[in-house]
Amino acid sequence: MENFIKNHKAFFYLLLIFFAIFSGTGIFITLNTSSKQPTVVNKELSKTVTESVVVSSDPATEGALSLTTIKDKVLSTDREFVVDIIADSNGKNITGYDLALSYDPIAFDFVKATSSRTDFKVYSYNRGNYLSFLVTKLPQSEKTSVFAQTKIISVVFKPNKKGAYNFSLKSEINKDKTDLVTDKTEILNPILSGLEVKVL
Amino acid sequence: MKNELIKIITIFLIVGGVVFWGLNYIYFSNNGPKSKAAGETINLTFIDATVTTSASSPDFTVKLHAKPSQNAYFRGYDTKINFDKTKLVFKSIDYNFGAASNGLGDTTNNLTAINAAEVIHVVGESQVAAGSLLTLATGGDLVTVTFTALDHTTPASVTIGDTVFYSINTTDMSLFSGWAFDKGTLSVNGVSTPTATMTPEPTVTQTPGSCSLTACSACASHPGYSYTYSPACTSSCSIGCDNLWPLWVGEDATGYVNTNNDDYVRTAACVTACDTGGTPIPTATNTPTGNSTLNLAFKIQGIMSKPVTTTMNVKVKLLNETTKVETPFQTVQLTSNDFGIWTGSASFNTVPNTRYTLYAKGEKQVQKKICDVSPNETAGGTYRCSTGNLTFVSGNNTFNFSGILLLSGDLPEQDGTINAYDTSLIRNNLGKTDADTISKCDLNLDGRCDSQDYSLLISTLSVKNDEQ
Repeated sequence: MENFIKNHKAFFYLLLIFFAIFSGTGIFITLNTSSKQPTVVNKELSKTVTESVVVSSDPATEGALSLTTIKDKVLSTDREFVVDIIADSNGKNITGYDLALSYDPIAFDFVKATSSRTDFKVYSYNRGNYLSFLVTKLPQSEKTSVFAQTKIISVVFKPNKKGAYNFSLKSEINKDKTDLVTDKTEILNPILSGLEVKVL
Repeated sequence: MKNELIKIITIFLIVGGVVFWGLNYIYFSNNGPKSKAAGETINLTFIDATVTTSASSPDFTVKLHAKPSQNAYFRGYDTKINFDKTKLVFKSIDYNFGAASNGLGDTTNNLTAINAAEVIHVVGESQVAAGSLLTLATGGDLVTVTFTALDHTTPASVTIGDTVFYSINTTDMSLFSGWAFDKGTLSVNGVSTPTATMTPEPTVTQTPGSCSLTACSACASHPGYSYTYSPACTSSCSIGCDNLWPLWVGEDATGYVNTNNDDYVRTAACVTACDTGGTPIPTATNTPTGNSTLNLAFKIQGIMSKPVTTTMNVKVKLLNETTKVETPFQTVQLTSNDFGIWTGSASFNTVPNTRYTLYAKGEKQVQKKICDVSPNETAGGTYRCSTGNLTFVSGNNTFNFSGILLLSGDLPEQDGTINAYDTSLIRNNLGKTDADTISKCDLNLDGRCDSQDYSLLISTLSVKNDEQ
């Protein structure tokens, strides 16, 4: 070994310098990344979704609608994620509702929306920079539909790019509104919440 | 030994390069430098920031200017320009930075929808894959927008709404949209002083209908102006003066127009003052007042024969494809024949050799846009058109639009779309036959609110909104 080092001094020092630079750089970048983002980052491009609630300032009269998703869910580029809409109808029996869901169409592709209740049917409209849903209770259903922090609809998206984005229910965009309609055909304008999503 | 050393150095350089590339891929692919530093902003301003118009020159043009806090290449932008349609009318927009995003960015072609929504959705994109440069030094004009101020004495403002800019990270060509914005406001006629001059002095000739009034005491408080209506009214006049006088612009809610093409919105006080001794105006009149009488035939979704209720009102308006000016709606009373074909007449002032688009909206229907003289469709409700091709002559003009369906579903009180209120209104009243319910939810006019009406509404959800 000593002979080898003597015969290949240049090789040995180059190897030592290279190893030091490699290790130092690796440690520095790893620590730097970890301090900013505790999420594990795969060698493949990965995305992390975290959530927080953004309360809108839209006027409200009765009931509430909010958005939620699974916290800290790590997604790969081709993995979809679900935004659930939670409703509170303030004790009223709901026979239909409208949703105007604002999102960034460049960062996400809308995949589908599914009602959590089988006696409600969802009609989806992609308006470009927002989604409009008309959800109506089937005429033959005789079940009552009083929402109390009830998941009413799941909206599936596929993330496309990194960044922080907001999903928010808007009281009105163009002609599309967010509201709940009761069995007395009374329109409720609920308190609306949003969801901040971070894609890494 | 010398040859061996060269060989070793070469191998090291190659291995080092590969390792460096690997490190770069692993660590910088997600966290690489962006095209801008965090906290950078874009100043969005109108040039000019203040505009003053006059009665003779109500149009004005402004540019929306963007100036980033550091040089950056931008791939696209998405912003909203908000205005008050009671004070300003959008006229045109030209994209200066890139071009309008197809299907997303509003253009002058969306004039009607923009003015209805009171917002211009500006979505533009660079035509260069690497993006277009906006510099800190000069910035750039995004769009040029022209408005018409409806009244040069009324201050108005134009604001900038939700905005996103997409810059390009030159390292990996990824898009970045985290810019913050400092938004300016456009002030229109903000410092102008209203003047009490109006030339020529208004002389009211009320059309259509027969109602007028002899003097308006409320208006008479404005020196030099009085109103002479002929014949005299007894009550319920739909035309008069307002406390905003002399800001006489646009149309009133009923669509009545005087000879100066001015119009009036009356306050309650003025109505009281003016209507004593008048004669009533019919609310829905088909009295021909324009130079062109339109004899129209329509087919309503779900009505295949003479229904129980044989009359209905349909609102009709025309869009002049040259000037892009719309007439007010006229309410046309239609009558059904044995085959469920609904006919009626309306009268409009039209310009010869000019193409028009006709919009028709029934009491329980979504608005239909009609461009062709004899439109047809293979499946009910599928007819669509873009540019109007209807021309009119003075006198009678007969159009048979029964080849297409007016789709049902926007129930009273109408809001231009089918929503959960409409679906619930029918669902919650299934089986009812009382007059109030029938007036709102009986789509096929068979005298009851039932599952057929619900099915008709559901089938119209493929359209949902009024056609614009």
